[in-house]
Amino acid sequence: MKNITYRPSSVREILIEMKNTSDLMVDLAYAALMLENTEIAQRVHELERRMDDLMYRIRIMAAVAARNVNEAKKITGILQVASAAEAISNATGDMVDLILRGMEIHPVIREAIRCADEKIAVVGVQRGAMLTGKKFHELRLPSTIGVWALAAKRGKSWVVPPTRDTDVRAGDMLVVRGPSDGIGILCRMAGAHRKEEPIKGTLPLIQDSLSHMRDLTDAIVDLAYSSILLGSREVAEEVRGLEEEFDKLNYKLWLETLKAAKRERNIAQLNSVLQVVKCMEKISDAADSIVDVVLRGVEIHPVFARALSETDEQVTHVDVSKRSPLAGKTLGELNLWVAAGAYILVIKRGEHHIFEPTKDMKLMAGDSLIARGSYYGVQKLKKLAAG
Amino acid sequence: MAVYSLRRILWESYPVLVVCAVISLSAGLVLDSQTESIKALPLILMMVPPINGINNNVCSILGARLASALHMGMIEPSFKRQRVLRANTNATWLMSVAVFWFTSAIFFAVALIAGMGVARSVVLMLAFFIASMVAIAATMLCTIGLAFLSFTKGLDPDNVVIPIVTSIGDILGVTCLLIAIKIVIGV
Repeated sequence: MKNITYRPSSVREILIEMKNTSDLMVDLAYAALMLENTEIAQRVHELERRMDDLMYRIRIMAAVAARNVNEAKKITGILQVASAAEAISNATGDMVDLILRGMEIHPVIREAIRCADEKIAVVGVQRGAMLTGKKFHELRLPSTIGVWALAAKRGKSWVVPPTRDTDVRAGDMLVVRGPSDGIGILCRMAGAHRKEEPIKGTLPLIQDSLSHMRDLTDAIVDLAYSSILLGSREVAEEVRGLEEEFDKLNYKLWLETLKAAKRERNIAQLNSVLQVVKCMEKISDAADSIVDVVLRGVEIHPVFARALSETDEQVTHVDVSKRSPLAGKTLGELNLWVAAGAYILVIKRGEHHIFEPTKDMKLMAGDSLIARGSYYGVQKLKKLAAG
Repeated sequence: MAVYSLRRILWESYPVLVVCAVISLSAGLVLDSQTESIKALPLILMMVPPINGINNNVCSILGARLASALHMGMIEPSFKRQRVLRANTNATWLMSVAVFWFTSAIFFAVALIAGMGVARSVVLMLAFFIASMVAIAATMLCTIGLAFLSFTKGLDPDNVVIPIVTSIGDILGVTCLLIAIKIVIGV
Protein backbone atom coordinates (compact mmCIF):
# COMPACT_ATOMS: atom_id res chain seq x y z
CA MET A 1 0.00 0.00 0.00
CA LYS A 2 1.22 3.43 -0.89
CA ASN A 3 1.16 6.17 1.70
CA ILE A 4 -0.91 9.18 0.89
CA THR A 5 1.36 12.22 0.62
CA TYR A 6 0.14 15.75 0.03
CA ARG A 7 0.10 16.93 -3.54
CA PRO A 8 -1.35 20.26 -4.56
CA SER A 9 -4.10 19.06 -6.87
CA SER A 10 -7.51 20.58 -6.30
CA VAL A 11 -10.86 18.86 -5.96
CA ARG A 12 -11.57 19.87 -9.56
CA GLU A 13 -8.39 18.33 -10.95
CA ILE A 14 -8.89 15.11 -9.00
CA LEU A 15 -12.52 14.86 -10.05
CA ILE A 16 -11.54 15.28 -13.71
CA GLU A 17 -8.98 12.52 -13.42
CA MET A 18 -11.44 10.26 -11.60
CA LYS A 19 -14.13 10.65 -14.24
CA ASN A 20 -11.65 10.15 -17.08
CA THR A 21 -10.22 7.09 -15.40
CA SER A 22 -13.56 5.47 -14.61
CA ASP A 23 -14.85 6.11 -18.17
CA LEU A 24 -11.69 4.60 -19.61
CA MET A 25 -11.84 1.62 -17.25
CA VAL A 26 -15.36 0.70 -18.35
CA ASP A 27 -14.29 0.66 -22.00
CA LEU A 28 -11.07 -1.18 -21.25
CA ALA A 29 -12.89 -3.79 -19.17
CA TYR A 30 -15.29 -4.62 -22.01
CA ALA A 31 -12.40 -4.63 -24.47
CA ALA A 32 -10.44 -6.98 -22.20
CA LEU A 33 -13.44 -9.32 -21.93
CA MET A 34 -14.09 -9.26 -25.63
CA LEU A 35 -10.50 -9.88 -26.62
CA GLU A 36 -9.69 -11.99 -23.55
CA ASN A 37 -6.62 -9.87 -23.23
CA THR A 38 -4.58 -9.98 -20.02
CA GLU A 39 -2.49 -6.86 -20.78
CA ILE A 40 -5.57 -4.66 -20.96
CA ALA A 41 -7.01 -6.41 -17.90
CA GLN A 42 -3.78 -5.75 -16.02
CA ARG A 43 -3.98 -2.09 -16.90
CA VAL A 44 -7.53 -1.91 -15.56
CA HIS A 45 -6.21 -3.27 -12.29
CA GLU A 46 -3.50 -0.62 -12.13
CA LEU A 47 -6.08 2.06 -12.79
CA GLU A 48 -8.26 0.66 -10.02
CA ARG A 49 -5.44 1.18 -7.55
CA ARG A 50 -4.93 4.68 -8.91
CA MET A 51 -8.63 5.39 -8.29
CA ASP A 52 -8.32 4.31 -4.64
CA ASP A 53 -5.48 6.77 -4.28
CA LEU A 54 -7.50 9.54 -5.94
CA MET A 55 -10.47 8.88 -3.66
CA TYR A 56 -8.29 9.54 -0.61
CA ARG A 57 -6.91 12.68 -2.19
CA ILE A 58 -10.27 14.14 -3.09
CA ARG A 59 -11.52 13.54 0.46
CA ILE A 60 -8.47 15.32 1.87
CA MET A 61 -8.90 18.31 -0.41
CA ALA A 62 -12.64 18.53 0.17
CA ALA A 63 -12.12 18.45 3.93
CA VAL A 64 -9.67 21.35 3.75
CA ALA A 65 -11.84 23.33 1.35
CA ALA A 66 -15.07 23.15 3.33
CA ARG A 67 -15.22 26.14 5.66
CA ASN A 68 -18.88 26.50 6.40
CA VAL A 69 -22.06 24.47 6.39
CA ASN A 70 -23.22 25.78 3.04
CA GLU A 71 -19.97 24.99 1.28
CA ALA A 72 -19.79 21.60 2.99
CA LYS A 73 -23.27 20.69 1.74
CA LYS A 74 -22.30 21.49 -1.83
CA ILE A 75 -19.11 19.46 -1.48
CA THR A 76 -20.89 16.32 -0.27
CA GLY A 77 -22.52 16.13 -3.70
CA ILE A 78 -19.10 16.15 -5.32
CA LEU A 79 -17.80 13.47 -2.98
CA GLN A 80 -20.84 11.38 -3.81
CA VAL A 81 -20.00 11.62 -7.52
CA ALA A 82 -16.37 10.79 -6.79
CA SER A 83 -17.27 7.71 -4.81
CA ALA A 84 -19.67 6.65 -7.58
CA ALA A 85 -16.80 6.92 -10.06
CA GLU A 86 -14.73 4.82 -7.71
CA ALA A 87 -17.51 2.25 -7.38
CA ILE A 88 -17.65 2.03 -11.17
CA SER A 89 -13.92 1.48 -11.28
CA ASN A 90 -14.20 -1.29 -8.68
CA ALA A 91 -16.89 -2.97 -10.77
CA THR A 92 -14.65 -2.94 -13.84
CA GLY A 93 -11.85 -4.34 -11.69
CA ASP A 94 -14.11 -7.27 -10.78
CA MET A 95 -14.92 -7.76 -14.46
CA VAL A 96 -11.31 -8.12 -15.52
CA ASP A 97 -10.63 -10.39 -12.56
CA LEU A 98 -12.40 -13.07 -14.58
CA ILE A 99 -9.61 -12.84 -17.12
CA LEU A 100 -6.73 -12.38 -14.71
CA ARG A 101 -7.86 -15.42 -12.71
CA GLY A 102 -7.96 -17.44 -15.90
CA MET A 103 -11.67 -18.18 -15.67
CA GLU A 104 -13.45 -19.36 -18.76
CA ILE A 105 -15.38 -16.64 -20.54
CA HIS A 106 -18.59 -17.70 -22.24
CA PRO A 107 -18.64 -16.78 -25.95
CA VAL A 108 -22.05 -15.16 -25.46
CA ILE A 109 -20.32 -12.32 -23.57
CA ARG A 110 -18.11 -11.56 -26.54
CA GLU A 111 -21.11 -11.69 -28.86
CA ALA A 112 -23.15 -9.45 -26.59
CA ILE A 113 -20.40 -6.82 -26.44
CA ARG A 114 -20.17 -6.93 -30.23
CA CYS A 115 -23.91 -6.45 -30.59
CA ALA A 116 -24.09 -3.39 -28.37
CA ASP A 117 -24.64 0.02 -30.02
CA GLU A 118 -21.16 1.17 -29.24
CA LYS A 119 -18.75 -1.23 -30.90
CA ILE A 120 -15.32 -2.34 -29.81
CA ALA A 121 -13.00 -3.35 -32.61
CA VAL A 122 -9.40 -4.21 -33.36
CA VAL A 123 -7.97 -2.42 -36.37
CA GLY A 124 -4.61 -3.38 -37.86
CA VAL A 125 -2.76 -0.46 -39.43
CA GLN A 126 -1.39 -1.40 -42.86
CA ARG A 127 1.77 -0.14 -44.50
CA GLY A 128 1.21 3.11 -46.38
CA ALA A 129 -2.18 3.78 -44.80
CA MET A 130 -3.12 7.43 -44.27
CA LEU A 131 -3.08 6.95 -40.49
CA THR A 132 0.60 6.08 -40.30
CA GLY A 133 3.02 8.65 -38.98
CA LYS A 134 0.25 10.78 -37.46
CA LYS A 135 -0.14 11.45 -33.77
CA PHE A 136 -3.46 10.81 -32.06
CA HIS A 137 -4.02 14.48 -31.24
CA GLU A 138 -3.58 15.35 -34.93
CA LEU A 139 -6.09 12.73 -35.97
CA ARG A 140 -8.80 13.91 -33.57
CA LEU A 141 -10.64 10.66 -34.11
CA PRO A 142 -13.28 11.27 -31.38
CA SER A 143 -14.55 14.50 -32.92
CA THR A 144 -14.27 13.52 -36.59
CA ILE A 145 -15.60 9.96 -36.63
CA GLY A 146 -16.70 9.37 -33.03
CA VAL A 147 -14.02 6.74 -32.46
CA TRP A 148 -11.84 6.57 -29.33
CA ALA A 149 -8.58 4.61 -29.21
CA LEU A 150 -8.42 2.46 -26.07
CA ALA A 151 -5.19 0.57 -26.58
CA ALA A 152 -2.48 0.07 -29.14
CA LYS A 153 -0.27 -2.97 -29.62
CA ARG A 154 3.11 -2.39 -31.15
CA GLY A 155 5.22 -5.50 -31.60
CA LYS A 156 4.78 -7.25 -28.31
CA SER A 157 4.17 -4.28 -26.08
CA TRP A 158 0.91 -2.52 -25.34
CA VAL A 159 0.16 1.16 -24.87
CA VAL A 160 -3.01 1.46 -22.77
CA PRO A 161 -4.40 4.00 -23.46
CA PRO A 162 -2.51 5.75 -26.27
CA THR A 163 -1.77 9.36 -25.31
CA ARG A 164 -2.09 12.51 -27.40
CA ASP A 165 1.49 12.19 -28.54
CA THR A 166 1.45 8.50 -29.39
CA ASP A 167 1.99 8.13 -33.13
CA VAL A 168 0.42 5.50 -35.32
CA ARG A 169 2.82 3.18 -37.13
CA ALA A 170 2.32 0.50 -39.73
CA GLY A 171 1.82 -2.83 -38.04
CA ASP A 172 0.11 -1.35 -34.98
CA MET A 173 -3.01 -3.02 -33.73
CA LEU A 174 -5.48 -0.45 -32.40
CA VAL A 175 -8.26 -1.37 -30.02
CA VAL A 176 -10.99 1.21 -30.52
CA ARG A 177 -14.57 1.88 -29.60
CA GLY A 178 -17.23 3.89 -31.37
CA PRO A 179 -20.21 3.76 -33.69
CA SER A 180 -20.16 1.05 -36.35
CA ASP A 181 -19.90 3.55 -39.24
CA GLY A 182 -17.06 5.39 -37.55
CA ILE A 183 -15.11 2.18 -37.13
CA GLY A 184 -15.74 1.43 -40.81
CA ILE A 185 -14.17 4.78 -41.73
CA LEU A 186 -11.23 4.10 -39.43
CA CYS A 187 -10.65 0.73 -41.11
CA ARG A 188 -10.45 2.49 -44.47
CA MET A 189 -8.03 5.04 -43.01
CA ALA A 190 -5.92 2.19 -41.72
CA GLY A 191 -6.09 0.33 -45.02
CA ALA A 192 -7.55 -2.65 -43.19
CA HIS A 193 -10.38 -4.91 -44.15
CA ARG A 194 -13.18 -5.01 -41.68
CA LYS A 195 -13.90 -8.58 -40.90
CA GLU A 196 -17.12 -9.33 -39.15
CA GLU A 197 -17.16 -12.70 -37.52
CA PRO A 198 -20.58 -14.19 -37.83
CA ILE A 199 -22.43 -14.29 -34.55
CA LYS A 200 -23.30 -17.88 -33.76
CA GLY A 201 -26.05 -16.99 -31.38
CA THR A 202 -25.96 -20.05 -29.17
CA LEU A 203 -27.89 -18.34 -26.40
CA PRO A 204 -29.84 -15.61 -28.22
CA LEU A 205 -31.95 -14.52 -25.27
CA ILE A 206 -28.98 -14.11 -22.97
CA GLN A 207 -26.98 -12.37 -25.68
CA ASP A 208 -29.81 -9.98 -26.37
CA SER A 209 -30.37 -9.04 -22.74
CA LEU A 210 -26.68 -8.75 -22.08
CA SER A 211 -25.98 -6.40 -24.96
CA HIS A 212 -29.01 -4.32 -24.08
CA MET A 213 -27.80 -4.14 -20.50
CA ARG A 214 -24.41 -2.94 -21.65
CA ASP A 215 -26.05 -0.11 -23.62
CA LEU A 216 -28.28 0.66 -20.68
CA THR A 217 -25.43 0.98 -18.19
CA ASP A 218 -23.67 3.42 -20.56
CA ALA A 219 -26.82 5.50 -20.91
CA ILE A 220 -27.55 5.39 -17.19
CA VAL A 221 -24.09 6.65 -16.26
CA ASP A 222 -24.10 9.45 -18.86
CA LEU A 223 -27.57 10.55 -17.86
CA ALA A 224 -26.61 10.47 -14.20
CA TYR A 225 -23.75 12.89 -14.85
CA SER A 226 -25.99 15.14 -16.93
CA SER A 227 -28.74 15.12 -14.31
CA ILE A 228 -26.32 16.53 -11.79
CA LEU A 229 -24.79 18.95 -14.29
CA LEU A 230 -28.20 20.40 -15.12
CA GLY A 231 -29.65 19.83 -11.67
CA SER A 232 -32.54 18.20 -13.49
CA ARG A 233 -35.03 16.11 -11.57
CA GLU A 234 -36.59 14.78 -14.80
CA VAL A 235 -33.30 13.39 -15.99
CA ALA A 236 -32.65 11.94 -12.54
CA GLU A 237 -36.03 10.26 -12.57
CA GLU A 238 -35.34 8.86 -16.03
CA VAL A 239 -32.16 7.34 -14.62
CA ARG A 240 -34.27 5.68 -11.92
CA GLY A 241 -36.63 4.45 -14.65
CA LEU A 242 -33.82 3.01 -16.75
CA GLU A 243 -32.43 1.44 -13.64
CA GLU A 244 -35.72 -0.36 -13.16
CA GLU A 245 -35.60 -1.55 -16.76
CA PHE A 246 -32.10 -2.77 -16.08
CA ASP A 247 -33.22 -4.68 -13.02
CA LYS A 248 -35.98 -6.39 -15.01
CA LEU A 249 -33.48 -7.46 -17.64
CA ASN A 250 -31.18 -8.60 -14.88
CA TYR A 251 -33.88 -10.80 -13.45
CA LYS A 252 -34.70 -12.21 -16.86
CA LEU A 253 -31.07 -12.89 -17.59
CA TRP A 254 -30.53 -14.81 -14.37
CA LEU A 255 -33.53 -16.95 -15.14
CA GLU A 256 -32.32 -17.63 -18.68
CA THR A 257 -28.85 -18.45 -17.43
CA LEU A 258 -30.18 -20.86 -14.85
CA LYS A 259 -32.35 -22.48 -17.52
CA ALA A 260 -29.35 -22.76 -19.81
CA ALA A 261 -27.41 -24.35 -16.97
CA LYS A 262 -29.60 -27.42 -17.27
CA ARG A 263 -28.44 -27.98 -20.84
CA GLU A 264 -24.97 -26.53 -20.78
CA ARG A 265 -22.12 -28.88 -19.97
CA ASN A 266 -19.68 -26.17 -18.98
CA ILE A 267 -21.14 -24.43 -15.94
CA ALA A 268 -17.94 -22.45 -15.31
CA GLN A 269 -18.47 -20.62 -18.58
CA LEU A 270 -22.04 -19.74 -17.69
CA ASN A 271 -20.84 -18.49 -14.34
CA SER A 272 -18.80 -15.85 -16.17
CA VAL A 273 -22.04 -14.45 -17.61
CA LEU A 274 -23.48 -13.97 -14.14
CA GLN A 275 -20.27 -12.43 -12.90
CA VAL A 276 -20.28 -9.87 -15.70
CA VAL A 277 -23.91 -9.02 -15.06
CA LYS A 278 -23.18 -8.56 -11.39
CA CYS A 279 -20.51 -6.00 -12.28
CA MET A 280 -22.86 -4.19 -14.65
CA GLU A 281 -25.36 -3.98 -11.84
CA LYS A 282 -22.74 -2.36 -9.62
CA ILE A 283 -22.16 0.24 -12.34
CA SER A 284 -25.84 1.06 -12.57
CA ASP A 285 -26.07 1.22 -8.78
CA ALA A 286 -23.21 3.72 -8.79
CA ALA A 287 -25.14 5.87 -11.26
CA ASP A 288 -28.12 5.62 -8.96
CA SER A 289 -26.11 7.02 -6.09
CA ILE A 290 -25.22 10.00 -8.32
CA VAL A 291 -28.84 10.88 -9.07
CA ASP A 292 -29.66 10.51 -5.40
CA VAL A 293 -27.86 13.83 -4.93
CA VAL A 294 -30.21 15.51 -7.42
CA LEU A 295 -33.37 13.89 -6.06
CA ARG A 296 -32.49 15.03 -2.57
CA GLY A 297 -32.18 18.55 -3.87
CA VAL A 298 -28.56 18.96 -2.81
CA GLU A 299 -27.13 22.01 -4.50
CA ILE A 300 -23.91 21.07 -6.22
CA HIS A 301 -20.72 23.11 -6.05
CA PRO A 302 -20.01 25.13 -9.23
CA VAL A 303 -16.66 23.42 -9.53
CA PHE A 304 -18.51 20.32 -10.73
CA ALA A 305 -19.65 21.99 -13.95
CA ARG A 306 -16.13 23.25 -14.55
CA ALA A 307 -14.68 19.81 -13.98
CA LEU A 308 -17.19 18.18 -16.30
CA SER A 309 -16.29 20.63 -19.06
CA GLU A 310 -12.65 19.60 -18.82
CA THR A 311 -12.98 15.81 -18.95
CA ASP A 312 -11.91 13.80 -22.01
CA GLU A 313 -15.45 12.76 -22.75
CA GLN A 314 -17.89 15.48 -21.80
CA VAL A 315 -21.56 15.64 -21.13
CA THR A 316 -22.99 18.95 -22.20
CA HIS A 317 -26.09 20.95 -22.89
CA VAL A 318 -26.67 22.61 -26.30
CA ASP A 319 -29.53 24.79 -27.55
CA VAL A 320 -30.63 24.53 -31.20
CA SER A 321 -31.15 28.02 -32.61
CA LYS A 322 -33.49 29.06 -35.42
CA ARG A 323 -30.65 29.48 -37.91
CA SER A 324 -29.10 26.14 -37.07
CA PRO A 325 -28.66 23.68 -39.94
CA LEU A 326 -29.66 20.98 -37.47
CA ALA A 327 -33.24 22.21 -37.22
CA GLY A 328 -35.72 20.24 -39.31
CA LYS A 329 -33.41 17.27 -39.89
CA THR A 330 -33.74 13.82 -38.39
CA LEU A 331 -31.06 12.34 -36.18
CA GLY A 332 -30.61 9.59 -38.79
CA GLU A 333 -29.86 12.16 -41.52
CA LEU A 334 -27.49 14.11 -39.33
CA ASN A 335 -25.70 11.07 -37.87
CA LEU A 336 -23.98 13.38 -35.38
CA TRP A 337 -22.33 10.50 -33.56
CA VAL A 338 -20.14 9.81 -36.59
CA ALA A 339 -20.04 13.32 -38.09
CA ALA A 340 -19.15 15.20 -34.89
CA GLY A 341 -18.53 12.41 -32.42
CA ALA A 342 -21.43 13.78 -30.40
CA TYR A 343 -23.96 11.31 -29.11
CA ILE A 344 -27.38 12.76 -28.34
CA LEU A 345 -28.64 11.44 -25.01
CA VAL A 346 -31.73 13.56 -24.52
CA ILE A 347 -33.77 16.07 -26.49
CA LYS A 348 -35.56 18.57 -24.32
CA ARG A 349 -38.53 20.06 -26.13
CA GLY A 350 -40.47 22.64 -24.20
CA GLU A 351 -41.25 21.08 -20.88
CA HIS A 352 -40.78 17.44 -21.75
CA HIS A 353 -37.74 15.29 -22.28
CA ILE A 354 -37.27 12.76 -25.05
CA PHE A 355 -34.91 10.09 -23.78
CA GLU A 356 -33.09 7.68 -26.08
CA PRO A 357 -34.22 9.51 -29.24
CA THR A 358 -34.59 7.28 -32.29
CA LYS A 359 -33.05 7.84 -35.72
CA ASP A 360 -36.25 9.24 -37.26
CA MET A 361 -36.60 11.86 -34.53
CA LYS A 362 -36.59 15.33 -36.08
CA LEU A 363 -34.68 18.13 -34.37
CA MET A 364 -36.45 21.47 -34.11
CA ALA A 365 -35.38 25.03 -33.44
CA GLY A 366 -35.67 25.71 -29.72
CA ASP A 367 -34.77 22.16 -28.74
CA SER A 368 -32.21 21.64 -26.01
CA LEU A 369 -29.89 18.72 -26.52
CA ILE A 370 -27.94 16.83 -23.90
CA ALA A 371 -25.02 15.26 -25.67
CA ARG A 372 -21.81 13.46 -24.91
CA GLY A 373 -18.62 13.75 -26.90
CA SER A 374 -15.01 14.86 -26.91
CA TYR A 375 -14.11 18.53 -26.36
CA TYR A 376 -13.79 19.22 -30.09
CA GLY A 377 -16.85 17.13 -30.84
CA VAL A 378 -18.91 19.14 -28.38
CA GLN A 379 -17.55 22.41 -29.81
CA LYS A 380 -18.51 21.25 -33.30
CA LEU A 381 -22.01 20.44 -32.12
CA LYS A 382 -22.32 23.81 -30.39
CA LYS A 383 -21.31 25.61 -33.59
CA LEU A 384 -23.81 23.61 -35.63
CA ALA A 385 -26.56 24.24 -33.11
CA ALA A 386 -25.86 27.99 -33.04
CA GLY A 387 -26.05 28.18 -36.85
CA MET B 1 -0.17 12.63 19.39
CA ALA B 2 -3.86 13.16 19.95
CA VAL B 3 -5.36 15.83 17.72
CA TYR B 4 -6.32 18.14 20.57
CA SER B 5 -3.44 17.45 22.95
CA LEU B 6 -1.81 20.45 24.58
CA ARG B 7 1.56 19.42 23.16
CA ARG B 8 0.26 19.22 19.63
CA ILE B 9 -1.46 22.59 19.71
CA LEU B 10 1.70 24.19 21.12
CA TRP B 11 3.93 22.38 18.64
CA GLU B 12 1.84 23.48 15.67
CA SER B 13 1.21 27.06 16.70
CA TYR B 14 4.35 28.08 18.57
CA PRO B 15 6.75 28.49 15.60
CA VAL B 16 4.17 30.49 13.66
CA LEU B 17 3.47 32.69 16.65
CA VAL B 18 7.17 33.38 17.11
CA VAL B 19 7.43 34.46 13.48
CA CYS B 20 4.35 36.63 13.92
CA ALA B 21 5.77 38.17 17.09
CA VAL B 22 8.97 39.13 15.29
CA ILE B 23 7.07 40.71 12.39
CA SER B 24 4.74 42.61 14.71
CA LEU B 25 7.68 43.76 16.84
CA SER B 26 9.23 45.37 13.81
CA ALA B 27 5.92 47.17 13.28
CA GLY B 28 6.38 48.50 16.83
CA LEU B 29 9.93 49.52 16.00
CA VAL B 30 8.73 51.50 12.99
CA LEU B 31 6.27 53.28 15.24
CA ASP B 32 8.97 53.86 17.88
CA SER B 33 11.37 55.40 15.35
CA GLN B 34 8.82 58.10 14.64
CA THR B 35 8.11 59.31 18.18
CA GLU B 36 8.76 62.90 17.07
CA SER B 37 5.94 62.84 14.52
CA ILE B 38 3.60 61.22 17.00
CA LYS B 39 4.37 63.85 19.60
CA ALA B 40 3.63 66.53 17.03
CA LEU B 41 0.42 64.88 15.94
CA PRO B 42 -0.97 62.47 18.61
CA LEU B 43 -3.94 61.77 16.35
CA ILE B 44 -1.63 59.30 14.53
CA LEU B 45 -1.93 56.94 17.49
CA MET B 46 -5.67 56.93 17.06
CA MET B 47 -5.22 55.94 13.42
CA VAL B 48 -3.05 52.89 14.03
CA PRO B 49 -5.69 50.46 15.38
CA PRO B 50 -8.26 51.13 12.61
CA ILE B 51 -5.80 50.89 9.72
CA ASN B 52 -4.29 47.68 11.10
CA GLY B 53 -7.55 46.19 12.28
CA ILE B 54 -9.53 46.72 9.10
CA ASN B 55 -6.61 45.80 6.87
CA ASN B 56 -6.04 42.53 8.74
CA ASN B 57 -9.69 41.56 8.95
CA VAL B 58 -10.37 42.20 5.29
CA CYS B 59 -7.27 40.26 4.23
CA SER B 60 -7.99 37.37 6.62
CA ILE B 61 -11.39 36.97 5.02
CA LEU B 62 -9.76 37.04 1.60
CA GLY B 63 -7.17 34.50 2.73
CA ALA B 64 -9.83 32.08 3.97
CA ARG B 65 -11.87 32.42 0.78
CA LEU B 66 -8.82 31.93 -1.42
CA ALA B 67 -7.78 28.83 0.51
CA SER B 68 -11.22 27.28 -0.06
CA ALA B 69 -11.27 28.21 -3.72
CA LEU B 70 -7.74 26.88 -4.30
CA HIS B 71 -8.51 23.53 -2.71
CA MET B 72 -11.76 23.24 -4.64
CA GLY B 73 -10.03 24.16 -7.87
CA MET B 74 -12.00 27.32 -8.59
CA ILE B 75 -8.67 29.16 -8.58
CA GLU B 76 -5.31 27.89 -9.72
CA PRO B 77 -2.07 29.12 -8.14
CA SER B 78 -1.31 31.50 -10.99
CA PHE B 79 -2.20 35.07 -11.92
CA LYS B 80 -3.17 34.35 -15.51
CA ARG B 81 -6.83 34.10 -16.49
CA GLN B 82 -8.20 33.67 -12.99
CA ARG B 83 -11.76 34.89 -13.13
CA VAL B 84 -12.68 33.78 -9.62
CA LEU B 85 -9.49 35.26 -8.16
CA ARG B 86 -10.22 38.60 -9.81
CA ALA B 87 -13.78 38.58 -8.51
CA ASN B 88 -12.47 37.93 -4.99
CA THR B 89 -9.84 40.66 -5.10
CA ASN B 90 -12.28 43.14 -6.63
CA ALA B 91 -14.80 42.45 -3.89
CA THR B 92 -12.14 42.82 -1.19
CA TRP B 93 -10.95 46.06 -2.76
CA LEU B 94 -14.43 47.55 -2.97
CA MET B 95 -15.20 46.49 0.57
CA SER B 96 -12.10 48.16 1.96
CA VAL B 97 -12.66 51.36 -0.07
CA ALA B 98 -16.12 51.60 1.47
CA VAL B 99 -14.96 50.95 5.01
CA PHE B 100 -11.92 53.25 4.81
CA TRP B 101 -13.94 56.14 3.37
CA PHE B 102 -16.20 55.88 6.36
CA THR B 103 -13.26 55.80 8.81
CA SER B 104 -11.53 58.68 7.01
CA ALA B 105 -14.67 60.78 7.35
CA ILE B 106 -14.69 60.13 11.09
CA PHE B 107 -11.05 61.22 11.35
CA PHE B 108 -11.93 64.38 9.48
CA ALA B 109 -14.58 65.12 12.07
CA VAL B 110 -12.25 64.30 14.95
CA ALA B 111 -9.51 66.54 13.55
CA LEU B 112 -12.00 69.35 13.05
CA ILE B 113 -13.24 69.05 16.60
CA ALA B 114 -9.64 68.97 17.85
CA GLY B 115 -9.31 72.37 16.20
CA MET B 116 -7.04 71.54 13.29
CA GLY B 117 -8.93 73.68 10.78
CA VAL B 118 -10.76 72.52 7.64
CA ALA B 119 -7.78 72.50 5.24
CA ARG B 120 -5.46 70.55 7.56
CA SER B 121 -8.29 68.15 8.49
CA VAL B 122 -8.97 67.37 4.84
CA VAL B 123 -5.27 66.76 4.23
CA LEU B 124 -5.09 64.49 7.25
CA MET B 125 -8.14 62.59 6.11
CA LEU B 126 -6.66 62.12 2.62
CA ALA B 127 -3.34 61.00 4.11
CA PHE B 128 -5.12 58.33 6.12
CA PHE B 129 -7.16 57.21 3.13
CA ILE B 130 -4.22 56.95 0.75
CA ALA B 131 -2.12 55.15 3.36
CA SER B 132 -4.87 52.62 3.95
CA MET B 133 -5.33 52.00 0.21
CA VAL B 134 -1.62 51.37 -0.32
CA ALA B 135 -1.48 49.17 2.78
CA ILE B 136 -4.47 47.11 1.74
CA ALA B 137 -3.11 46.60 -1.78
CA ALA B 138 0.24 45.42 -0.45
CA THR B 139 -1.35 43.17 2.17
CA MET B 140 -3.68 41.66 -0.40
CA LEU B 141 -0.71 40.78 -2.60
CA CYS B 142 0.98 39.11 0.38
CA THR B 143 -2.24 37.26 1.19
CA ILE B 144 -2.57 35.91 -2.34
CA GLY B 145 1.08 34.87 -2.36
CA LEU B 146 0.78 33.11 1.01
CA ALA B 147 -2.47 31.42 -0.01
CA PHE B 148 -0.77 30.04 -3.14
CA LEU B 149 2.19 28.91 -1.05
CA SER B 150 0.01 27.21 1.54
CA PHE B 151 -1.85 25.34 -1.21
CA THR B 152 1.25 24.15 -3.05
CA LYS B 153 3.08 23.19 0.16
CA GLY B 154 0.05 21.88 2.04
CA LEU B 155 0.40 24.36 4.93
CA ASP B 156 -2.54 24.96 7.23
CA PRO B 157 -4.49 27.85 5.71
CA ASP B 158 -6.03 28.90 9.04
CA ASN B 159 -3.21 28.33 11.51
CA VAL B 160 -0.34 29.54 9.35
CA VAL B 161 -1.54 31.86 6.62
CA ILE B 162 -3.93 34.03 8.59
CA PRO B 163 -1.61 34.78 11.57
CA ILE B 164 1.22 35.67 9.23
CA VAL B 165 -1.04 37.79 7.03
CA THR B 166 -2.22 39.78 10.04
CA SER B 167 1.35 40.37 11.25
CA ILE B 168 2.45 41.52 7.83
CA GLY B 169 -0.65 43.71 7.73
CA ASP B 170 0.48 45.35 10.98
CA ILE B 171 3.87 46.36 9.66
CA LEU B 172 2.49 47.48 6.28
CA GLY B 173 -0.29 49.50 7.92
CA VAL B 174 2.00 51.37 10.30
CA THR B 175 4.65 52.01 7.66
CA CYS B 176 2.22 53.32 5.07
CA LEU B 177 0.48 55.51 7.62
CA LEU B 178 3.68 57.14 8.86
CA ILE B 179 5.09 57.67 5.36
CA ALA B 180 1.83 59.21 4.15
CA ILE B 181 1.67 61.58 7.12
CA LYS B 182 5.32 62.50 6.65
CA ILE B 183 4.77 63.36 3.01
CA VAL B 184 1.47 65.18 3.39
CA ILE B 185 1.84 66.98 6.69
CA GLY B 186 5.64 67.05 6.82
CA VAL B 187 5.95 66.33 10.53
